[in-house]
Amino acid sequence: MEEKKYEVATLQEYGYKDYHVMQTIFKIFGRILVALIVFMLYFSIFIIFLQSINSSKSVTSFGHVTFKWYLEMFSNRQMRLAIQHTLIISISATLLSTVLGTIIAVGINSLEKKKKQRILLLNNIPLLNADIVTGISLMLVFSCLLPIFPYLFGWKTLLIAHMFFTLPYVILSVLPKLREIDPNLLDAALDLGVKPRRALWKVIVPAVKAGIFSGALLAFTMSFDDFVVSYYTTGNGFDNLSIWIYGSIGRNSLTPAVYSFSTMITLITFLFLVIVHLFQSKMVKKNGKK
Amino acid sequence: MNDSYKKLAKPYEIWLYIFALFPALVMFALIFLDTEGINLSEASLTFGNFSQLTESSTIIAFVNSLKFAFLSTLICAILGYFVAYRLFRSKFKNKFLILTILILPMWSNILLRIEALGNVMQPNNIITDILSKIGIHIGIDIKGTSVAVLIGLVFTYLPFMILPIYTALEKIDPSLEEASLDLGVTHLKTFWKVIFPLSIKGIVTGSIMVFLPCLSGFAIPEILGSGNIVLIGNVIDQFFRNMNYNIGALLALLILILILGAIFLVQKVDKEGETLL
Amino acid sequence: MGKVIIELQDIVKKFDGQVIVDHLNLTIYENEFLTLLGPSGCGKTTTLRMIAGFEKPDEGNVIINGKIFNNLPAYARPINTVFQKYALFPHLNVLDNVAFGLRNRSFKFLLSFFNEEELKKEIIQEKEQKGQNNKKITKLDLHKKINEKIIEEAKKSIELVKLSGFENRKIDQMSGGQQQRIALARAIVNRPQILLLDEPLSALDLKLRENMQYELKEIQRKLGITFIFVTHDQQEAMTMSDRIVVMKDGTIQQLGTPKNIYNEPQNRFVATFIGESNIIRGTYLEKNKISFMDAIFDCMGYTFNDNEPVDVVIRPEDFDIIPKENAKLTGTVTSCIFRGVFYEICADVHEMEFVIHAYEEIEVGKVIGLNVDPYEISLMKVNENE
Repeated sequence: MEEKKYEVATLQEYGYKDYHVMQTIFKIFGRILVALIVFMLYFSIFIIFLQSINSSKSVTSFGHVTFKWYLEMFSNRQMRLAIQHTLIISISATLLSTVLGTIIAVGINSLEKKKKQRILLLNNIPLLNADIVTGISLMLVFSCLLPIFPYLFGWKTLLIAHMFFTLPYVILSVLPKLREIDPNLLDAALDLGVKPRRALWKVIVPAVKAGIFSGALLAFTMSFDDFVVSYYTTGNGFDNLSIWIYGSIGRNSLTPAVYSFSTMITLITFLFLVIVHLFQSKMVKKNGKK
Repeated sequence: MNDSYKKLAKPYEIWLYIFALFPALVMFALIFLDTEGINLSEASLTFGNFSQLTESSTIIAFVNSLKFAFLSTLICAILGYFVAYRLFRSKFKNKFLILTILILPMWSNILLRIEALGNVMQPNNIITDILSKIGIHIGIDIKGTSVAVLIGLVFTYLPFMILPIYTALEKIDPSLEEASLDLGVTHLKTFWKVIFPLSIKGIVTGSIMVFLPCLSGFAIPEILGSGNIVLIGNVIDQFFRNMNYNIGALLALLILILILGAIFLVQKVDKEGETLL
Repeated sequence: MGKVIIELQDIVKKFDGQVIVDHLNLTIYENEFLTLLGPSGCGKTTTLRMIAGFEKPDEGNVIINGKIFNNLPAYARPINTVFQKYALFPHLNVLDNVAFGLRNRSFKFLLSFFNEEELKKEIIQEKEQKGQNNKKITKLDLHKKINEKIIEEAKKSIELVKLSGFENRKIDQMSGGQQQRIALARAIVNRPQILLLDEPLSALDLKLRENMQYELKEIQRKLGITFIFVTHDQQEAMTMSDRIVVMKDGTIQQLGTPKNIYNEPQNRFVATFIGESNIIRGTYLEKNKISFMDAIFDCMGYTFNDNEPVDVVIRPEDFDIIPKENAKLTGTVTSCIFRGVFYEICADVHEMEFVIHAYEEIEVGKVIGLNVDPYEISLMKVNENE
């Protein structure tokens, strides 16, 4: 066969301008901007890190690198208590919200459309409401209960408050996954004589694992980081880390140990995520080879 | 789904009535009363609380809040869309990783982050100190200005804008973009005519998630504004701290009304709530 | 055959090191209805996507209208596509979907698309009718006219797919079959030279699918544009195509008219993928003589070397059942299933299972004789790799 020479078609002859160069510039500019923004998101964490290894107690001057604050973290009694409280509340609120939220999501998912929409509308309130309004609202409810339960304010109110604003996150993470479940799957299970409660654990929960996990992650993040709601709903003597920090900032008595704690948490989380990620990609590779 | 699961949602509905709706009623009652805290024993009916609405300090705080919330939302929307779009376009398709990169900063206490940010907004800080040791002398002095508050608000709440937009972008069927290109429409025009209109619900959700906390927050303006900038959140906080629940409730209700409007808007744009998370 | 419109030269496409399309050569002509047929993963959709401009070939050239198009993006190609899941824009109504392509083209393109001279003539006519003296045609006049024209074209196209009256409906209010038609209208309104269809009928139910097959063929005839159709359904390919390309593992197995491919399959894959067939190893004795299963048969129209082993293909409907006494082949019936128009009979012949279509029921266990007419026997070269 004879080799025929062909011309290369150009954009111009089809009435388009070649904006190749512009595109490249835009792409590079975009990368720089994204890098800058991510840098800004992490900037404050970087400063916290610097302050945590600063030998000087002052935040305006850098002495030399030290790790003494990491040790003091454990010896400062008030701070240790605050951390304890934070962890107790966050972990128990996350656990309770995750379990209850999943069950509630299953319930919501099986409702008729109208009822479902009404509950979801209400469910959006804790999610979107201003922290200060949520905090005040909960405080008012608890205050109304005071005549019946005089010693209510404290860990009980804090736990309820945290569950109040973490539940919607779990529910909204689980619901879309529930919608994706093949309805026949559940029917099949029930048809085989599995009791609804058992089917919930054996069929539904495994199918929505991913939603439950991301819901729990969000719930913990929100709970761990919360200040305003906790500020209004806790009682005397039960300060969590946020409230303790707020007080310390107000008194200008913030110990650098708290920077160490924060840095440590960031590093642990980071490590945890890297491990999860590596584990995930390993799983993907394994599955891909099959 | 099975009918026997329906009853599982009932307790939650009651829970929401108690903690989400009931306090609104309590607040509504409080604004017509003159009480000491929530103590009703010496309560008296009054309309005097409403005069607080015309006080210049309230109006200034409210206008300030709206101004800051609008500006931060706008800046977040522009930056957030940009970042979300680049992430969406990158080969980086692991949503879990993107999510965690964005929420990882939140695992450090918000007050601590704001405080750290505030420290470097002063002329003498740890960074300038380190830099001066190697001979570089720079420094900014913006703590206490509106710019400082704005920066604080934008970079605290930006992730809440990026995530819904990214989710909305990810949900767009990739063949729609191919269809548009196939019909002779260039990449840029395809973006404006197909991708952008279909991602608006992400922008709306994100805007609400940024606007509301910016509107009502009091910690960020208090720390970064050094007390020079008073937002409505600070005013409400003050009233409650001084045990004046009546006026506090009145202002809180105002915000609640704004928020309910926002919730209805979200419900309208995104019926399934798929971009909320 | 008409003018060449597309040439694929030695195309190679890999994904993650895996070869999807393997040194593919194909010439496509104007006005033809060409079908790429093959099982999933055979590279047919990838080939289509390279023609459309969604993928770039790793090697080789995509030549359209005599020019190399490898690096031109999808939007600059005189090609439109009907997508498998239609890919209609959910935020636009039916009319806006159809008008989408034209509305977003440049003014310059639209001027030539609608013929500038004619547009001007129409504008002047309208002005005279209105009694306007100002004969000067402004750019605004042209823009207005073009917008009118686009809507007119879109409506025409909607009419062609028989959806007039649905112009203002939302996409999610339309059924699957209707969405399919909108997708078609949206593509042809741009008057492409080539229309690509990526399994467009796979989501429709049988009845609707058969109707659409007929209508697609009609539309192709009416518009006179090249259709490149991708499917895994051999029935669909047979009914609609002028030519069929049978693909497997990224290579072309056979290229020809439906008749040609059905009657003279070139290898085992084609023979079994298209229709049912009985394949028997045999020997080509001499011209028009073939031996298999210890018997010698007449055959027609094949040339091989004398005594070369060949594969013999006999379609189930090509067997005649005759009394066993006069038959060269005999077999025992193992099953007989009613299939509507015919009975599907399985028979054990020389320890091979034959599938035979007959119009009469035959009881299981009966020994039958089989006959084949010389022109019903097709022969294939033996490929040891299969």
